[in-house]
Amino acid sequence: MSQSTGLALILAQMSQATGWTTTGQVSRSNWGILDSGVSDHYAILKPGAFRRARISLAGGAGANMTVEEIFTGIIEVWQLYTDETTTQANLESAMNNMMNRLDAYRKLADTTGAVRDAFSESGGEQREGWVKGGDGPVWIIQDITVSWTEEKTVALAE
Amino acid sequence: MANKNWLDMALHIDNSSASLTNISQWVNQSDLEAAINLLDTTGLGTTDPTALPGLHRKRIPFNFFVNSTTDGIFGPLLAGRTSVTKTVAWQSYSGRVYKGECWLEDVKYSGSPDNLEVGSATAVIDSTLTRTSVVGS
Repeated sequence: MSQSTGLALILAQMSQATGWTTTGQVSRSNWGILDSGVSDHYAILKPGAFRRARISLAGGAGANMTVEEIFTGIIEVWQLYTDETTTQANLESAMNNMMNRLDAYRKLADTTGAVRDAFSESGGEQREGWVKGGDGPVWIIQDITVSWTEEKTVALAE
Repeated sequence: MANKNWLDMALHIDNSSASLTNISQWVNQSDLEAAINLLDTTGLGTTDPTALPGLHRKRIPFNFFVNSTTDGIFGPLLAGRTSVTKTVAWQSYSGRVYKGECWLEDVKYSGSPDNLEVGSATAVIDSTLTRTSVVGS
């Protein structure tokens, strides 16, 4: 598998979370959906950092070695700022619904067996999106970092 | 002469059909240990100790990932003891192999959240351990 394929699996789960099923609410690295008007909240998935490790012995050329790959994806959750009373709670609810879906699908519904484990491991600080000369924030935004682990067998050439 | 590293280390052990199998791709740690029992022959009142060499014990403790292949080899030993030794071959580097018959002692499976299910065992060499150049069959 790959980071790209894993991100596609995450995106599929994002669009099935409670409150996230409207077409056009989620995207992969497409910030244009923010102007679509289909919803007051959106989620945009982008690739995060990754790391790889050799986790087994092997025995030299002709043998196999096991490699572990830990990928991350960043989900930006955007909530339209409509008023001072409900906007914050709406973002929190949107975040929770997204994480609840991903918690339940801890292998991202991968049918190939490549994804060993997936989890929404952390979140970033909330930030605000402003327009130049505006009177207040247009969006409030918070990130969810999803990490997943894959395993591959490498046939050694040397 | 370059120093050796982990790249060519390997561990082979008999599977349930007594076929020597390379399990290295599921082994993440392994040691080869040799210890000699020394009998103290120091005389009373003397300062410098002396000894007689006794039994020479060889052991190969190792850790592995649990999967259908490794469970086929080690799982039965969790359920009951065996009366048959296994052949084990520990490759230090290409062209240097330590090989013998062993009993598997202290077989253990364990797991924790966010981690692979792992196992460990110690191959206790029965009789001699041969220092040779090839793994063989």
